[in-house]
Amino acid sequence: MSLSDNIRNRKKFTAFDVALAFVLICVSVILIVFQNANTSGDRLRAVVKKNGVIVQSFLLDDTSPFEICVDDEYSVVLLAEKDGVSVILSDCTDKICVNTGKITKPGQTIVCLPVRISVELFAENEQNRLDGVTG
Amino acid sequence: MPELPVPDAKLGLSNLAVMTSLCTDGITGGLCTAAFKAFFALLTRGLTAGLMSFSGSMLSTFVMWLVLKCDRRKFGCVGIGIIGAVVHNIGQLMIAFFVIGNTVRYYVPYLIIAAVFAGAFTGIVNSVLIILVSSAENTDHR
Repeated sequence: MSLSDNIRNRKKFTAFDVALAFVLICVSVILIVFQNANTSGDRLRAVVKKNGVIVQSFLLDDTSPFEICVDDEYSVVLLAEKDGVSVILSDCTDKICVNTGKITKPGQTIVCLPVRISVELFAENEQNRLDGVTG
Repeated sequence: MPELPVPDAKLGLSNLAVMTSLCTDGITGGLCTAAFKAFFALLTRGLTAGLMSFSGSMLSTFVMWLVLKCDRRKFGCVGIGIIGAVVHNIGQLMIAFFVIGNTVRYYVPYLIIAAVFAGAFTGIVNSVLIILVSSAENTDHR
């Protein structure tokens, strides 16, 4: 039997489809809730990586907002504020990184795929400082 | 094209072409279409996008073929589409993991939710397309 007939003889959707969709969405929602579980009170550390290698790492604390240029090849400018970090300028083609806006919680990431730069926030405390450094 | 809430998430209309060619021409046709689609992504969107498209679409074509052959029609057309879309994301994320590092893991749940809806859509459209294509073929033969 050809695959074409295989598709034609199938139901449009079955109980298995519903179960599959349900399980996938439940697992995703649990993951999202788990990721957003805020470790409030901790200071935030922003880690900038290029090609997966850490190129910059700085604490977001009481300093006044500052801008930082993270790459020589392309101009990518971050704005670091007390409560989060955002990409305000990028040479890349799609501007997804700029459109992501400001990230404010540990675990959130800004990714610029064309330039291969990522910015991730970590909670800075004794427990996961090592995680923060090794990424 | 409707904007999905996840950056870089798309409806997967090009995967629809891969799915349809998999169903009409078999595994070889499906994989060829997937490879050609990846080559197109390479030309228009660069090396990273090309590699991600290649690993995603080859893997999803192969897994959809396996499921179509082996699941004894337990899944419906919608289920096949969802499996294809989720596996496509997994294939792409494997490349993204090497390029960007493990920060992409935070992206996974959002992509899976997007894939469930996009896959249900492409699955249902694919089943309609297959019915149209095979009825057109039958008319030609008469």
